[in-house]
Amino acid sequence: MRSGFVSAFVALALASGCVTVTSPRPLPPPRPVAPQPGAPPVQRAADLPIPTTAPLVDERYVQWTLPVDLLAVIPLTYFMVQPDRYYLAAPSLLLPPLIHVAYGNSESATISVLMRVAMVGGVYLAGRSAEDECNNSESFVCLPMRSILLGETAMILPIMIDSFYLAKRTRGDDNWNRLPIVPSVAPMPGGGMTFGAATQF
Amino acid sequence: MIVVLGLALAACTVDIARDVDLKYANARVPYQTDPAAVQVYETDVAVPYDVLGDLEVVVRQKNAFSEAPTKEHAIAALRAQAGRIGAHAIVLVDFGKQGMSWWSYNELRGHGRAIRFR
Repeated sequence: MRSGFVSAFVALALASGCVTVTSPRPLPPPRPVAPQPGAPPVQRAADLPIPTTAPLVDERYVQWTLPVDLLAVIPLTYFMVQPDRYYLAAPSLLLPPLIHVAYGNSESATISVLMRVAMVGGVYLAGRSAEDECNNSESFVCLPMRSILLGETAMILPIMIDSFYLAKRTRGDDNWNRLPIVPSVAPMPGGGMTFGAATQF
Repeated sequence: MIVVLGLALAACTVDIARDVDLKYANARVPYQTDPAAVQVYETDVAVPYDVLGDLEVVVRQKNAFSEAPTKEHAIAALRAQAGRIGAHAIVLVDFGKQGMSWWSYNELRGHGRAIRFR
């Protein structure tokens, strides 16, 4: 158990070491610039007759699909050896597509369902193939490696594609529809302070 | 045929992830601007302006057959995003070191501040 944790930690450390990309320096706060008389005019992009829309944000939700998939693999593995208990395949077949639907990503949900139908079929075939392998085997202990490999491939491929390619969406930034409020504080000539809030649109 | 078409499509594109930070934004504007006409500056400009938002972009190589990410890809994505919110220019444009990430073996991160001149 302990060696498993150590191995996982070492693997994570090695993987982190492979990350070489860096982010640019953080942007500084904006500084107020006073109008400069006589400064050359700046070139301004022309306004288009299209209303502004919220800036786009691309986000991933692999943090939901991957754990759910890894948990759903457990009953799916039982389904491989007990195909009459077909409900064991349901979590793996339905839960990740439902996560896509919850994120409003119906296209990914459709692709995910199709992949998972193929996955369940592959797992079923792997189970039957394993039975055949072991029935034809004369050894005392049967380890149907070919079928195990087929079953694992059938499970891993959709999980990887789902997590790393399908589990992302593009949406408009939620905060865009709120007006920016700029707070202000200023001393008054006779003492005391004034507090204000302003917006511009 | 499908594989060839898939490879051809993959060769044309990079994966782009966008984000925006409205922490310093102090204005909204009604109309979009032409992204091709949005000016890009690596420094701040000595002209009064309003901040529309801090734009972030990550350009990733999709696979071995697709294009490698470049600063031009990132700037095009920043311009498209800036035009969408009606910016005149993007200032303080900066890029990190290109390299490997959790999501791609070739990734470039950049950002800039979308502004509108007063």
